[in-house]
This record gives sequence, structure tokens and C-alpha cells, in this order.
Amino acid sequence: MTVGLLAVMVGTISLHAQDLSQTAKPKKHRFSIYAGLGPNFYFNNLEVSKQYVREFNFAFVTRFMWEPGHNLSLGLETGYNGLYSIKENPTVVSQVKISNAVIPIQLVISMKFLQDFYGSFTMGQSILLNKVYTKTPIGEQRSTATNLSLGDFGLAAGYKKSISPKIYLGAELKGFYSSKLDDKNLGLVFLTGFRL
Amino acid sequence: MKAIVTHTLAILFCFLFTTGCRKNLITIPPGSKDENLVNTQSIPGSTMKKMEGIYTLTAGSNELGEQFVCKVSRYKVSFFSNKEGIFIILKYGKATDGSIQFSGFWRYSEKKDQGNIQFAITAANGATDLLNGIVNNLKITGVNGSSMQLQYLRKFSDKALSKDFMIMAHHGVQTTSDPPFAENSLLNVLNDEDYGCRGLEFDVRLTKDNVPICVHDATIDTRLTLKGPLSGAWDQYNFSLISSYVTLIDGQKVPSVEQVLNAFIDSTNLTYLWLDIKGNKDIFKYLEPVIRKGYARAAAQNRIVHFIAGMPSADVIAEYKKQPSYASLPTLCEQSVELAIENGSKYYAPRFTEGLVLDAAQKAKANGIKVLSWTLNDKNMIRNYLVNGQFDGMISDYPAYVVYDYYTLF
Repeated sequence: MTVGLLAVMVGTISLHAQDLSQTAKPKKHRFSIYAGLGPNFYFNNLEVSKQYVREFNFAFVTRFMWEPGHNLSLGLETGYNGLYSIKENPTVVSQVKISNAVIPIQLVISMKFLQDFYGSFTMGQSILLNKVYTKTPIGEQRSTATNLSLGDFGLAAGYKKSISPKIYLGAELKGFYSSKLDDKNLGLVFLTGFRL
Repeated sequence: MKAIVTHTLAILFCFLFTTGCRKNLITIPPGSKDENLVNTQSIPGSTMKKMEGIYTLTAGSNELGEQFVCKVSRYKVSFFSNKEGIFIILKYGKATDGSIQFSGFWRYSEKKDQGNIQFAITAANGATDLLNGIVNNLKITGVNGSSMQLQYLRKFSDKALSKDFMIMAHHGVQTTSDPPFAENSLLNVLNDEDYGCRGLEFDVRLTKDNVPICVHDATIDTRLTLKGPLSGAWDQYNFSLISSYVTLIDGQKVPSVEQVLNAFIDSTNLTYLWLDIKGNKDIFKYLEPVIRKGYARAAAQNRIVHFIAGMPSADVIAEYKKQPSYASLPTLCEQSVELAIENGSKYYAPRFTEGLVLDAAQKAKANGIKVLSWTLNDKNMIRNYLVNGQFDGMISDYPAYVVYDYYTLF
């Protein structure tokens, strides 16, 4: 419920920003693309095999944004968000490795707060990837199962600095929630942006 | 105005988002200390079976009801009340003073209120007679705070006993209201007879290595399972991996159909098992040997059982037709009585929303097809369908309603 309320708050802030922008002087809009990479931490809430979970993973983010010249900008985000992995030896001669990751396909609403600081809210669906590797005396098996999570969202706070008329560098702290299996993680993503 | 509408929609979205999917919460029946069963001797179920019938409250509190149906399962004695689907499930034993002692729990069908209860039949109140196979002025009284006395009123009518009515649990008992066990689980197989059932309806899917398993939802989710490292459709994983890394919400494992059949045959007196086929490709090819093995096991134990493959859709019927040798095994058709006849099904099961289906039921019976209604959970509707319908059985999440009404109405 706390997460839901945070979503409402961010939505509210964004809507107010939109109202204010209607009276502001129009500015020239532009498009930008961003790409980033960084470590993340999974909030381990597994009830089965919890003790084998490796919480640290990494995330890769790409974002295409429409920046209309006001505080509010909109865009689309995708990437690869590693959740957690498990490595277990159920018997001396067998091994199981399982990794879970998310490919988000989400709408981004981003709002500048100060000159170089921004907050963003992402929402939409994600593809859940479940990779399993098993090794037994009979042989090895690899499989990838997919699943769709429809009500996912993320909240981020970030800093970006323009180092040339076309290029930004920045970092953001991003919390992500996937509703299908109640997965949550927190990542620190280092971003590079390119103004088109 | 636009902002208000937008904000309201945002709040509504968040509410639905956070409350939309509820875990199927388990309320385990209360454990009892069974002090009154210490040093008691076991009594054969066939002896206790004689006490089946209608009982009335003659003294004490009517908190649990005023009239009861008593049914005896393989190892327990159960009472089903006229009040809000309350039922009582009791273990029993013969005490050294010649009395029969009972200990167990009572519970509501649609609420998680429950508690311990102990009863006794003293030697003078009919225990001696009952142990000698006679039911005469039987009185069962509460002990240790269960301040009520029930008196045997009458046996079940010949009409009720002759009808072979199928009272069946829907994935298990109370699956929509704080169930005692995870749905489609072995604990349901082992215990549902105590809840008044003669059969079960379970769901069947295939794993990646073509093992038929009992599970309802298409994907591994936290409604039915504890959160674990596997996600996605069941048929993306081998059964061994599912057994190792998927745990049902009450700690049990997802059972294979073979495990269900073995428990059903070996450890219960249940008769009917409706296997609702969920439509994996070639599912009948992989189910058939398991079912035939089950029938062979039952025959070896002189058990009469009916393993019925449920066909809920045209896709499943198409799969059934791909496996002609399955035609000699019983099937059930949900779609229409005409399709049931066409496919040689022995059972026709219209959804309760289709009503009493009197014409279709008559047509089914004329063709030797039994008719079941599913899933009936409303107590008024259950009574209406029992009185005015021509059904041979009912699927319910709350079999206690069906048991009480069936044995008291007929």
C-alpha cells in the first residue's frame, strides 16, 4: 500500500507540473536517448530456497525521452534488470543454477526538480525471464521460461549534468517493483544521455 | 474537474494494484490434545458406520446448531449442522469404562471460526449397543466444556441412500474461504472424506517432461504457492524441478496425478475423482497410462473407483479425439448434453449458471449419462438445485451445506 501511495504522490506532482507548464512560455522540444548500467540489490522475500539467493546483480537501462522544454518529460524505457540468482548443489553430483531477470517495457514520466536533479516514475509491463541450468549424472539441461507481469512500476531519483550541448552524464537510484511475483529491487544506475 | 477525475483514477488504479491479487490463505484446523482419547482402543469404522443418521440437540447450547447429519468416514465421525454450514470432525476410541470418546474440532464453512470439541457416548447412553452393532436411544454428550447433548433421531432414508449422490469438493474443501489445505493437494485427498465428500474435482496439467500434475492456475504464482525461484507456465519445467523448487502455500508439494490416485485408492473410501483437463497438447496420451495403472491398483484392493476425465472446452475434446484408446475410460463433458452423447461421455456437467437444465438432464438420463452441477456454493441455491433439479451430484467448495441438505431433505 505504501508503494501505491508513493505512486499517487509522484503522479500528483507530475500532474501539477503539467498544469503549471500550460501557462509557461513554450520552449523548443527535443528527443534524447539514455543508456545506463549499474549494480542492484534484490529484496529477498523468497519462501523457498531463500538461503541460496544471491541478492546482488546488475541492471541495464535504455530510455527514449521526449523533453518538451518544460519540467516534465515523457518517454519509454526498456532494458535488462537482473533480480537474483540461485546456485545450489542438491546432491554431491548434481548442480542447479536459477537466475531471474526482468525486461521492462514501460512508460516513463520524469520531472526536473532542481537544475540537474529529477525524479521519474515508470509503469507498464515486464517480461520475466527465468533461466534454469541443471547438471545431473544423466546430463545437463538448460531452459528459459518466460512470464508476463502487467502491473509493474519503478520510482527513481537522479542527477544528470550536461557535459556538452549533446551529451549528459548522470546517476540515478531506482526502486523497481514487479507485481506478478512480488519482486522488488533497488539499483544504482550510471547513465549517459545523448540529445538527438 | 479534469484533475479530480485523473486523481481519482490514479487512486483507484493504485487500490486495485495493491489489492487485486489475494493469496489463498490457509487456516489449519485446530490441533487437539485428545486427553479423553488417551488409553482408548480403536473401533472399526464399520462399527461406527452404524451411528450414521440424523441427530437433534436435546440439551445444552445451540451455538453449533440444533439438528445434525452424522457421517462416518474411514477414520473419523463427522457432524454437519443446520446452522451456517458448521461441521464437527472427530477422532474416536473405546475407553476402559465402556464409553466411546470423541475428540476433534468444529468449524464454519465460510468463516475461519473454529475450535476444539470433545464428546462421549457413555455405556448407558448407547455405547455398548453401538459396539454390538445396535443403535438404540443413542445420546452423545459434550465433555470438557462442550455443553451440548445430541440424540439419534433416525437413520438416513432409503431414498437418500439409494441415490448414489455424488457430493464432491471443488479442488478441495473451502477453497474460496480460508481453506484448511492448499487446493489440489494430497492433504485434500486424505481428508476431504471427513468433510462429507464422496469425491473430488482436481485440475490436471502437464509438465515439460509430460508428467500429469494436479494444479489449477496456468502459471506458477503466489496465489497458490510460496514464493520460490521458478516462474512461468508449469509446462516449462520438469516434474523433478517443480518438486524441488515449488511449494504449495501450506508447505505441501504439487502432486502428480499418480500420487493423487495412489492416495485416493490406498488411504480413503472416496469413490469419484473428476480430473478437469486443462488442455496441454497430447495430454490424454500421457494421462491414459496413469489412469489405467490407477484402476489396476484399485482392482487389486477391491476398491470401486471412478476416475473421470473432465472436458471443459472444444480444445480438450479435440485432444481427447487424438487418443482413441481413451474412449474406454470415463469422461465428462461440460459443454452440452449433445456433445456428451456424441463423445460417449458418462457424465454431463453444466455450470450452475445454466440453471436446473431439466430438459438436458432428462435427455442425459435417457442416454445413461449422469448429471453434475458445478460449482454450487450458495446454500439457498444448493437447496433449490437439490429439491427441484435432477442432478446426480454437486461440486461445491462447501460440501457441508450439501451433506446436511441432502440427507435431511430426502
